[in-house]
Amino acid sequence: MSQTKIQQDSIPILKTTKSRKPKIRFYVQTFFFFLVALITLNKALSEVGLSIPYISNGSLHAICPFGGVASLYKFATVGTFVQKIHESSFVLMVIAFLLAILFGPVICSWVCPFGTFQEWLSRIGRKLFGKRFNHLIPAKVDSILRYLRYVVLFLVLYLTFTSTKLIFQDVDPYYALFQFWSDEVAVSAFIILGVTILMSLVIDRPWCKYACPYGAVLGIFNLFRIFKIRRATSSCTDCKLCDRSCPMNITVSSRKAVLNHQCISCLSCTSENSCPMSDTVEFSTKGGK
Amino acid sequence: MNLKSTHLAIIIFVFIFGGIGLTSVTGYWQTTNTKIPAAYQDGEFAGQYDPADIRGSYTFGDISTSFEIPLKDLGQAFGVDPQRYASFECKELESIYAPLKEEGKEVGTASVRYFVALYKGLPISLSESTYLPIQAVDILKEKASLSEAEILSLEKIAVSLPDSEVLTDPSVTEGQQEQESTETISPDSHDTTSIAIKGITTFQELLDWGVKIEDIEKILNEEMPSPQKSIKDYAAEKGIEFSGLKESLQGLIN
Repeated sequence: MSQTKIQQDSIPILKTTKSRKPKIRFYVQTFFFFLVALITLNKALSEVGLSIPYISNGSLHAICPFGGVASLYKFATVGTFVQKIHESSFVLMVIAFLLAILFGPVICSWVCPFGTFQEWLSRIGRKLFGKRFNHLIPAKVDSILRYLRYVVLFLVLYLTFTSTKLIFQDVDPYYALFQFWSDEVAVSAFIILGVTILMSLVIDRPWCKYACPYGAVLGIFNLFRIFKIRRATSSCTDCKLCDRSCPMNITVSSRKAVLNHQCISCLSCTSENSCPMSDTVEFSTKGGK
Repeated sequence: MNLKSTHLAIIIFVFIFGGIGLTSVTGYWQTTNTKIPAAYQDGEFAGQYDPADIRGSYTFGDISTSFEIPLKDLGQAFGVDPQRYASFECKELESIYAPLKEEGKEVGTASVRYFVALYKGLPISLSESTYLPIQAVDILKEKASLSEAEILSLEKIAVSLPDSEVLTDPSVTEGQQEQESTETISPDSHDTTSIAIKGITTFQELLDWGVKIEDIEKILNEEMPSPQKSIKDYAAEKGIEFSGLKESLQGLIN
């Protein structure tokens, strides 16, 4: 009798309904989006002698961890940062790396306000294109384009190292979005922001997938992160809901563990969110329960 | 070990705000610049501040303090309002000299770095699009120890302040420049009567516009001061009313 009970407990249960409540990730993303918006607003206000209490008035560069990455070479060789980058960027870079070693690019999926912005736009895209949304680019083209962000990363780092200027600012749509009133934003950044907005209506996170140099850096951590998306093949019904829920178009259903450099650790595919079988797609350590 | 969304959210908050809190306590968390440039790490100049690390947010006051350059020299070199010498930020130069940028000639933070390096005899490399105001070149000629070659290359990158917008283009021959200095005064007019003396106008500019030194000295009733001195500064020093002096000197130009 007791043996039978134990066996029943270990059998994955088919969950019939999924909660329609907004997921906690949505709240976390919204919090960071408005926090960054308030900080940039406060920075602008501080220039005219005003301020929002309890909010930092650091620049957008000062709170972007990619500034730390772009400054690595100068920091290693001269001991200083590239223009506009401060110690705070370095601190955030280290925090993001620690998080990435443990969990992968959670900064992209839970914190980055530009990722959040694209996700919000994608809600409109889903309504417009239905099931075709996020599947409009031919798979072959898409798979090649996925490596473009490493080219962007190489160019940004090379040009930053050689010029010691924050070259990326001139093409950074994130900077253009949060500093749209500033005359420091280059036309090229506005153009890229416009293209990203339009593409977000047909693709999930187009900037993250194809061009973000910081996503490229953090994506490498997926190869050795400690917590991975793991699929229990014994209980998987091969319904492919995990594949359909992935904003980065990763085929979770064909893998035991997701090592893909594009995974952003959003947990959309997990049993907690999309998978109808309990304890089947989990974010866990090896052999973890 | 399995991780759920709630746990991950908490961990992210703890890492980010814990990390910021920890580094704030230790004093490492800085979101603004300390306004102190980095020093050369090695070589002949090891330990001295490196002008290449001057940022756009540095004021002339910061630079004057770090590099021990008189504020007046910095202010006059870049045609800054004397009342703003100390608080003027390098990045503001870009808007003052914006018309030059359209021609691919940039007077900005890089120009300040170059000026400071030459003034102090420190090594620096110059980008192709970086130019210096003619006043800066004159101050360097007077106060920095420059070789003939350095003076020549400085003259090639000298540009006039935007209020007159007369550029000393290296491609223009000396003869042409002399002719143009009396003819081409502003982009809107070729009339010499449109030259207007302003607060930042220096005696050197009067000479450049073809006014003879003897005529200036007649009005001043004494020897002309350093050509780099602005007329307004001179008037203030001597306790003379600027508007009156300006009117007399303007008469010489017209």
